Amino acid sequence: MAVVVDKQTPQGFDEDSILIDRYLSGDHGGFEDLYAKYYDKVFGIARGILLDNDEAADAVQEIFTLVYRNLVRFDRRSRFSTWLFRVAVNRSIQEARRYKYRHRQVELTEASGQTAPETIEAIDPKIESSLAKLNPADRALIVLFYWEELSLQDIAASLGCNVNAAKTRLYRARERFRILYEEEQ
Amino acid sequence: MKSKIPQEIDKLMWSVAEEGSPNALTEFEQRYPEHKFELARRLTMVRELRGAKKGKSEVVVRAPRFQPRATAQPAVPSWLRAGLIAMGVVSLGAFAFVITSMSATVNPPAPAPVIQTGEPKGPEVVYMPPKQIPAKPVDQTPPVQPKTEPVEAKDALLLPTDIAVEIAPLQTVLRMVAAAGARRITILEGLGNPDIRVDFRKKAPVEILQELGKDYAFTPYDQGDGSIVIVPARDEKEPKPETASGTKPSTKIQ
Repeated sequence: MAVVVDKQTPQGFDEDSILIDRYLSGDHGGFEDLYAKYYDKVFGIARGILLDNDEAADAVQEIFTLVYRNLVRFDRRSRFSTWLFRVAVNRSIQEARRYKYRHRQVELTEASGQTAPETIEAIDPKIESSLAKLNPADRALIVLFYWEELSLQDIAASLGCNVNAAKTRLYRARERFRILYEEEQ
Repeated sequence: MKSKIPQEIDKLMWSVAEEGSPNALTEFEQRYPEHKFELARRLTMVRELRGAKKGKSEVVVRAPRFQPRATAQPAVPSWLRAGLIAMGVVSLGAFAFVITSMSATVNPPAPAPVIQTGEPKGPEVVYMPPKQIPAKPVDQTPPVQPKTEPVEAKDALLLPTDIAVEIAPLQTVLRMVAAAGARRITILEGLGNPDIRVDFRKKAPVEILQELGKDYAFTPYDQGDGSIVIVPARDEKEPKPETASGTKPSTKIQ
């Protein structure tokens, strides 16, 4: 774990560090720039795990509020983005577990052939349905790897595990997804 | 289906499907033609999975202005919530225990009254057969039935008892009486040791000793430390014996 993080220590110019320094020196604009820069990424992670636009938007605000309050504790041993994604993944998984009941309701709605919510229509129903049946941690792996296209090292750092563990977990999550996906066909 | 595919080929197939390189696809199909169909399925799945992201990204709205939430707190994990609940229960139990202990200390339960029944509780064996001449108890006195009305705790020396011996040495009888009175006994030199017969009913050991003293010329002294000294009768002019402990004055039993 520590080795992975050390390898990711940024070398040379780091825009995020400059923005963080600006914020820590009292310039609130520094954080707003970080927010604008990473909003889409964080929203994508939250969206993939929560499978709901409204919940994802809400979670993103929670995530950035956590980062806003704890940025002074960021030790910069890893990239800011890695730390941010880790917060995003953990928070989104927590929220997904909290809203598990609601997700089941969505599945039932889809299965009954009724009109799906607007936010679901934008995604392939088979993919959406298969993802919804996965547990949030597996969804996080799929989303980080296939949607956010993070490397295995970045995924490992975001999940707080080593690369081999991340690789194994991704392999298993993908297998579970494949089974669910093929059942949908 | 998966179980039929060796793990190495399975991983390679995933790599090829995710990479999507035409050359890699061709090579794999040439090398493992039996898995050609499976590779195509996985390729489709990976493309659709990635395509779902692109389709989804079109509905993402612009980032709203960030406003830190006043109430935003990290969601409490379930394990932490369970731990807090457990700590609360344990604390409540400990608090109840402390309160109970304090109340027990402040108001200790009244000590149970020591009830002495008719039969005195001697510390040791009461009826010892004489070593020299075996004594034959005249009657096997059954244990005295406890009285219906409890008697308050008193000195065993003052409680009535039964001592009946057909024949036994005097000093043996004295030891029996002392034991019945819960006393150790010391018999000074000079006291005779004739065989005697006694039959005392409902008499306190102290009375028995006094009567025996009159009959066999000795004086019992209560030392006040749980022991009795038997002093043989002597001339009035002779000095009285010292106490056994030397610290407390002996008291003549009257």
